[in-house]
Amino acid sequence: MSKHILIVDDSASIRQMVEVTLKSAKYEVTSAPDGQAALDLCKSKSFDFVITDQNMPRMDGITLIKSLRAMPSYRSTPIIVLTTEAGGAMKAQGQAAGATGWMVKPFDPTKLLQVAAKVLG
Amino acid sequence: MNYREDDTDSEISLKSRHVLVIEDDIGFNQTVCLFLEDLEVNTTGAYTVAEGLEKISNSHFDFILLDGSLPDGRGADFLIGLSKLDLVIPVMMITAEEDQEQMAAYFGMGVDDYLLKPVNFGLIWLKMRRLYRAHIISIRERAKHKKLQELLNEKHLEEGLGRHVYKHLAGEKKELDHIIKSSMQSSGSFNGDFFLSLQGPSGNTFLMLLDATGHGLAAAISVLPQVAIMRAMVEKGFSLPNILFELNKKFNRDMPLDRFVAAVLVEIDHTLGELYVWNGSMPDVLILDNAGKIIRTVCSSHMAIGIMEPEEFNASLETIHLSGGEHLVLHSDGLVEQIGVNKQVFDTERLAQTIERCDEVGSLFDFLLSEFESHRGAVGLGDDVSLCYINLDLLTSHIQNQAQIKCLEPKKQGHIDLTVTINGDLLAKADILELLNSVMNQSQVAVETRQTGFTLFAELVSNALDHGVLGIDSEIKNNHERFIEYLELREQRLQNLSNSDEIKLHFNYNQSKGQIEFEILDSGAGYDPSSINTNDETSLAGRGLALIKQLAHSVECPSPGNKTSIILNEKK
Repeated sequence: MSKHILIVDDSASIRQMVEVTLKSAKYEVTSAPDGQAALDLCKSKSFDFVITDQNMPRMDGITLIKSLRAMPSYRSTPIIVLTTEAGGAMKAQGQAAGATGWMVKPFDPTKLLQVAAKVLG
Repeated sequence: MNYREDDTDSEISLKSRHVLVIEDDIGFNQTVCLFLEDLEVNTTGAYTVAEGLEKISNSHFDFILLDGSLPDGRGADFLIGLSKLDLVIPVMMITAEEDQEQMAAYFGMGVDDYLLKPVNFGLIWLKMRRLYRAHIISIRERAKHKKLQELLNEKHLEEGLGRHVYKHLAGEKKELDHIIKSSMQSSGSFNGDFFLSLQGPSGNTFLMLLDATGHGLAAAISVLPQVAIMRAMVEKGFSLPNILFELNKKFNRDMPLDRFVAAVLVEIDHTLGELYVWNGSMPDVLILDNAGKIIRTVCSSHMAIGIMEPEEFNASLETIHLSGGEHLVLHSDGLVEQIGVNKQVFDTERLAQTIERCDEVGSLFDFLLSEFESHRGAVGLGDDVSLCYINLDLLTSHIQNQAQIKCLEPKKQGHIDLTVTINGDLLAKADILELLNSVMNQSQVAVETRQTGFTLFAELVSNALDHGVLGIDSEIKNNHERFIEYLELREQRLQNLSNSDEIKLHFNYNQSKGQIEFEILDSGAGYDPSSINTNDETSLAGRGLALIKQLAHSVECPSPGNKTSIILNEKK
C-alpha cells in the first residue's frame, strides 16, 4: 500500500507541483490550503508524511506542527517545512516546534523525491 | 482527475511521443516532465532558447512546451529559430501574465495555444492532447488532400487517354454528317453508348449502336474492344453474322459476368437494296418512309452481346427489302427512359408521336433532339442517351456517286494478270480476300466495281474453301441452328489440311476493256449447281449463287463443279 502524504500550502501552484511530483513516484497525496484545514484533515485521517509551508492564512506552519505533535498519532510522523524563509531563527523555531526537516524554495522536485524516499524509508 | 488517454487511435495519442519542455524555472520544468513521464510521454527539458534550438536540431520532437521569457531571450527568439528549421511541430506556450500582449504576435509565429502561469497541470494535459490530435488530423487531411490531388491528376490523365482512344476509334467522317446523323450524350465523363458507321470493301455500309451496362468509364471500357473488332472485321470484308459471333465470343471470354452490351448492328447493301438488322436488347429500330411515317420496326430478338455462350449465340439477321425513300432511326434506352420536368419518362409512345408530329422528315433528327431537350429541361441525364438517324436514299446515292467520281478519272491502258495457288496450311492462314482487294486497289479498279468484285470474290472464295476444299455441306452453313456446328467443323477441318488441298485463282484485269476475269479452282469433289436452292433468302451465309449471277456479267461452272469462272464489267 502506498504512503499517504499531506501537502499544506496556500499557493495552489506549489500544491500542484508538489502533488504532481509525489504522485509521479506513486505516493498518495492529499492537499490543504492552510494549517487549520490540514489539522482538521489530520484529525480524521492518518498521514505518513506532512509537507507544510510556513506563512499561511488562518494557521501558519509552526502552529500546525505544534498542534500535530500534541496529537499522539502524529508524535513521530515526519513533517518537513517548505518555505522561502531560510533564516536561522525560523529554522530553530521550527525545530523547536517538532519539524523533521526544512526545504527552501524554489521548489526542486528531485530533492523533494529524495527527501520523501529518505523519511518514508 | 484521471489523465490517462482513452484514445483507441494510437497515432493521435501523445503516449510514447517526445515532448520538449523549454522553461527556465528548473522546478517547474522538472515537475512538468515528471507529470508527463507519469503519463508515459517521453520528455526532454531545456532551460534556454539556445538549448531548446540545439535539442530540436538534434532530436525528433512531437510537441513543444515553451516559456515566454527565458534567460537568453524571449519565446519569440526560439520560434524564429524553429521556423528556419522548417519543422511542423505543435507549440504551446506557458507564459506569465505580462507576456499576454505578445501572444497575438506569437500566434502569428506559429504558436498553437497558450496557458497562463500559474498553470493547472490537468489543463496543460488536456490542451496538449487536443492540440496534438488537431495537429495529426491536419497532417492526415493534408496527406489525404495530396493523395486526392494525385488521384484526380491520374484520373485526368487516364480520361484524356480514354478520350483519345475513343475519338480515334469512333473516327470522324465529316462528309457523311448530313446523311448519318448521331447525337451521343453522356451522363458521366465517359459515354457507355457508342455509334459507329463503316464502309466495307464490298461497298456495304455497316452501322453499330452499342449500349454497355452502366455508364461512365466502366461502360466505355466494355465498348472499346467491340468497336476495334467491328472496325477490323468490316475492313477485312467479314459478313455480319461472322462479326457478331466474334464480338460475342470475345466479350464473353474477356469481360466480367455482370457486363454485357446491348447492340444494334445493321448492314446496308446498296447494290441489292437490302437492309440486314440484328437487334440484341436495344429499343426498336425504326424504319420510316419518305413522309416520315414509321413503316417497320425491328424489335430485339436476341440477348445482348456477352450473355450467351458462343455455342448458344444466335447471329440470324432480319432482312428488309428497301423500296426507296426509307429513313432509319436508332436509339438507346436512355432516350426513352429519360425523366422530364413533368416527372414522366420520354417513353416509346412519345417518341412515336414526336416522329409523327414532325412535318419534314429531313429535319426529323433536329426536331427529335429539340423535343427531347424540352422534355427533360434542367433534369440531368439518367443514362447515356444516343440517337442516330440515317437517310438511306442519300446514303446510297452518296456511295454510288463516290464510285462514279472515281470512274470519271482519266482512263489508263494497263493490264494485270495474276495466278495464285495456295495449298496446305496456308489455306487456313492466308487472307485471300485481302490479297484480291489489295490487287484491285493497286490496279485502280473503279470503286463500285471493286466493291462488287469484293462481294463476288468473298462468295466464291468462301464456297471454294468451305464446300470445295473442306467439303462442308452448304445446308449446315445456311441453317441458323447449325451455324455454330458449321464454325466448329470448319475450324476442325482447317487444322487437318494437307498439300493436296488447294485453291487456284486466276485474276485478270484489263483497264481499257474495263473488265475483270476471275477463275477459281478448288481441289474438292465439285457439286451440281442446279441442286442448290439459290432463292433461299433466309440463308445465313447470304446471297450465294443467286447473288453471283445477279452481280456478274457471266458465270460458268462446268462439271464437276469445282471451278467457277466469272466476268465482271466495270460500270460506265
